[in-house]
Amino acid sequence: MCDPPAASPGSANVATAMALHADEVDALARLAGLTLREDERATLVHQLGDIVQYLAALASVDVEGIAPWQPVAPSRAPLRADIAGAPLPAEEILRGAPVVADGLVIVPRFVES
Amino acid sequence: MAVQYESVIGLEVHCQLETASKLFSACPLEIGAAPNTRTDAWSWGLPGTLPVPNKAAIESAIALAVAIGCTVHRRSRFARKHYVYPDLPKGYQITQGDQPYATGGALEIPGDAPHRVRVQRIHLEEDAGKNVHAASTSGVDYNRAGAPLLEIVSEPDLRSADQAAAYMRELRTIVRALGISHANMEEGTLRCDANVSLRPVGADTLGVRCEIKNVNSFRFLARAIEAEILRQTDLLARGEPVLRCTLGYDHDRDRLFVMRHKEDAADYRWLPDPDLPPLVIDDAWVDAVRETLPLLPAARRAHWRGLGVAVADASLLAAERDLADYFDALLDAVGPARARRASSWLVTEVLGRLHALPIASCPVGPKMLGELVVLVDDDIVSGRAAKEVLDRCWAGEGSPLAIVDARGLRQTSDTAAIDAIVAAVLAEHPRQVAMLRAGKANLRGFFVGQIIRTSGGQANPRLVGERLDAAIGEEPS
Amino acid sequence: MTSHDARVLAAAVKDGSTTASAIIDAHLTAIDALPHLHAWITRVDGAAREHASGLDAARRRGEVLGPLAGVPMGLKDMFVTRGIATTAGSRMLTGWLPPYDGEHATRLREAGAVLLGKLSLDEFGMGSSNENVPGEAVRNPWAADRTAGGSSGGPAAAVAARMIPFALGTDTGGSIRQPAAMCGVVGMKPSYGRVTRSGMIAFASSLDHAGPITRSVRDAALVLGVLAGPSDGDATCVAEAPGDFVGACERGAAGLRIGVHKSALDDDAIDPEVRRAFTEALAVLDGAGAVLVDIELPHAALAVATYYVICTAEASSNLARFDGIRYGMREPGSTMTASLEATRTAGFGAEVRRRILLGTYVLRENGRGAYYDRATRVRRLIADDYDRAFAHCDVIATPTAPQPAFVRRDRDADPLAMYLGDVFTVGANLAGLPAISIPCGFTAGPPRLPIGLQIVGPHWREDVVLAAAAAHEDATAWHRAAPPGTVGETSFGRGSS
Repeated sequence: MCDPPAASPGSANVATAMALHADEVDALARLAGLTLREDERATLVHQLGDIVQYLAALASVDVEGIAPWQPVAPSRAPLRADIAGAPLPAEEILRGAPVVADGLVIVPRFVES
Repeated sequence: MAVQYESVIGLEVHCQLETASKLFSACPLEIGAAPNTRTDAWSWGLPGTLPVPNKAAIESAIALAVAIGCTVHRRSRFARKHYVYPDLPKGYQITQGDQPYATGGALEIPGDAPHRVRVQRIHLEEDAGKNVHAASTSGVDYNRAGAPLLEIVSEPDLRSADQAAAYMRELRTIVRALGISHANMEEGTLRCDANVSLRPVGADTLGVRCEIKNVNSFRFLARAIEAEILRQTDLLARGEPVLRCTLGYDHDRDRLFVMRHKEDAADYRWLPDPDLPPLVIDDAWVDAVRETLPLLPAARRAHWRGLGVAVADASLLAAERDLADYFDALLDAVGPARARRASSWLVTEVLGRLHALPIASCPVGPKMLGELVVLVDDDIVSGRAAKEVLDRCWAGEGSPLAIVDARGLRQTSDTAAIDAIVAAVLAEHPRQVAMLRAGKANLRGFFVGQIIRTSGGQANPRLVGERLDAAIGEEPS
Repeated sequence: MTSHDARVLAAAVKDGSTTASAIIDAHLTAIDALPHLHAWITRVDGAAREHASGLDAARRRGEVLGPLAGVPMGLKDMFVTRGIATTAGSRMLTGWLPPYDGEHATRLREAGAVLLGKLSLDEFGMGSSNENVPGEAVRNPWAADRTAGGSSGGPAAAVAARMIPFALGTDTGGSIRQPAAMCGVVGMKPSYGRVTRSGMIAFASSLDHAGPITRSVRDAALVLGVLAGPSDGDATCVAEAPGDFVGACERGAAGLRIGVHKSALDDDAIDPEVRRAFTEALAVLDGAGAVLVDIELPHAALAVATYYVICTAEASSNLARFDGIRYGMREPGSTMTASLEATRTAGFGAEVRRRILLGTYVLRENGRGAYYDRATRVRRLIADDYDRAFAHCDVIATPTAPQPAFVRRDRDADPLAMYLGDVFTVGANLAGLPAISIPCGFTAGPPRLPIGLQIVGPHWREDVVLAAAAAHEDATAWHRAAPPGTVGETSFGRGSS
């Protein structure tokens, strides 16, 4: 069994923790709001493992003192004057929603998983 | 021996800014509108929409940071915080994560012994929509989604439920004085989560904390915190550990309930928002905002106390901007030397007549009230007569001076004239004089009344009393 | 009429030698004749005819028309169009009719371009073959068993097959350039921040670009000119003065320094015919007066990995909003969580789910230090490599793709192998640089398949990219080649190049 990867950047542990295991992929799926179908789980675990291993090449780069990339421009967020435009008419926007009642979007009761 | 515990409380306060449009889009912002009538493509998280920050919201944010002495960071970033909830249209909230625009301020809780509470950080974020829960479904209204919020996080410097409520009140007073938010808990424009933990007195580490969420009034906040302190105290007294959790407060039953057990922290998968370049707030902008700040409550209170205003009156008058402005106008009219008299008249007589209506509905303006205060302070009218004058001003009969003259309410403070009346009245009642001199103190009031009546109601009662005492005391008993 | 460039059609409408309605009718007929390419998701024939007759009426009244008036076009189905189905190529957006028009649809319409419909794509822009679709994969007009490339396979195929003179695609890792190369047309990705992203469904925010797919470099310049410029709705699209893109096409290549990264070309994965065509293209540019310069891009080998960490992270975030609650499809469930999971699992295809899982992996708390943060720093190194190279050259030339159009294959075939096909294109997305792909030859065949040349320039320097590309185009006729079964189809046997 592999240990989960350590959090330290630039650590060699990144390279070792490569093969993803089914329960880790299941945990990712839960976080991402997906369920894995039985017939695809094995393939997915394998494919993701291969890709993650490929991505680990980044661990070999010395990024000491290198700042994260930013687009060339703009260097600062442009700010918008505080002027309100027209809202979308409720009927129009609600028309696109799957389930609506009394002007509200209806969803099944939320239960934290 | 039982360990003594102290409660350690920190508050995370959300304050909805009063801007015309939302934080990241030009969608109109309106409290209380019918569901889903104040939304736009951005508020719904429609694909293809992008955020552009609202300049006025940033300016309000700067104002609060300056008002409570925070460091405003030249460069800060927006970050995405991912979680699943029906009222979160994009599946993430845009907030500021580990690069907030302001850190390190403090505010003073007013009182006889003002208590300084440090503020750890303030950051900007967008609000989520609102859920209405029914039995097996929820209904979502996205009107509020995208509204601009300031989140103010205090250090855990609060030590009691009352202090926590007082901190909230002061914060509310400040943001209302700045004019940046309605800050109304019932309306939801001021919200508070409280983190409560206990630790042995003298310890410097923090105990396990529990979070109380969604309390919607100052009173309930204090009660909920008290309940939580009791709950944790009980646990510790029984030797049981306090487990991290999130609690709600049921005010109907005056009870806390567990919302979630928080053994595992949520994984928010923080991502610096690639749609938003860094937020840059330069010194020039901060200075410009600083120039335009109104006088803040703490400064006003200190100034008035320096002029002799009572502590409680100063706090009361500073609590609402309109009232504070009224008092400052009153001071302008009467001068600083009369500050104490002016404040007590405003608090006792004017606020007493308003019965919790706002000062804006007072029919007597500060200049007019000031005129009356001067008359009383200068002994031109008696206190009793002045109350009658105020009633008549209130009813719209005219200015205090006009009323005083029209009804002949000026009191005489001419010592010689009063002495003459005193002498005359004493001469008319020699037996009572003797009894008064012999110690029958309740006759003094009889004489004072007689003298004032003889003067046609115009003798200054205080002076009458003095001159009577002098006349009685002079004669050999 | 359907073999003409956009510029030619626009001029013909303007001078009255033809009408917008005639142009639109001709192109709709062309589309009707090629359903087997599966390039279109939604067609709006009625609205298109109406728009065209409106333009004709305006012209008769003497009104001034826009620079693309009467020119038919298609939008990759990542561009939001009011009241017209916008699917992102996904089941997730089944039935969604947007209540607003995106900036691109608006600007092109105001320029007088006539929308004929929404074009097929790899779902949410994720893919290199236009096979990641709920329905039929887009066919390459040059060979029915080949993919059209992706993710803008629909736009590239439609333009190559002479169904429309231009289309708008999106490019996050090469998704305009690679299908353009595979279909033998021109595809341009502008500088990041040049064209707004407002109204373009987001895949990876720091990497996404909108850009034209055309049959000539000058058409690309024309369309780019219409699209470029700041947008109120996008904080990353700034007011950089747009250049004279059309004028830049006349400059020629004399004295232009063309950088070539030799070590990248040593890769075995590059098809020998691609290598040959690339060498010939360099010779053409040399003949046009350009100077070839050796350059180094030391971190190039890390570009694909860097790209896939960043794009999957941003994609997993951008796609978090698709939960079945507010729009699109919803699968029922007893709880919101159950409904959400069922919706996302049924609504997203395999590649999208794969990338969301990867993105979740690289962003999660205990992995972030290793992956995402690090990737943004390697990205800085890659961008700096380009800056240093551009001190020695004006543009950089590469093949667009290591392979010509490949055979349509099993959909869950090795995804990693598919990712490696992006080796030449992702750099320009990571560094935000303008880049164009132009046709530069064909394989020997059969079937004869197009090969693309990529030219990359410094940030904001679309002009020099267009100058080099136009110089190559002017000296060759690859862009005039038409696929079988289309108007003006090329008969290679008779010596036309």
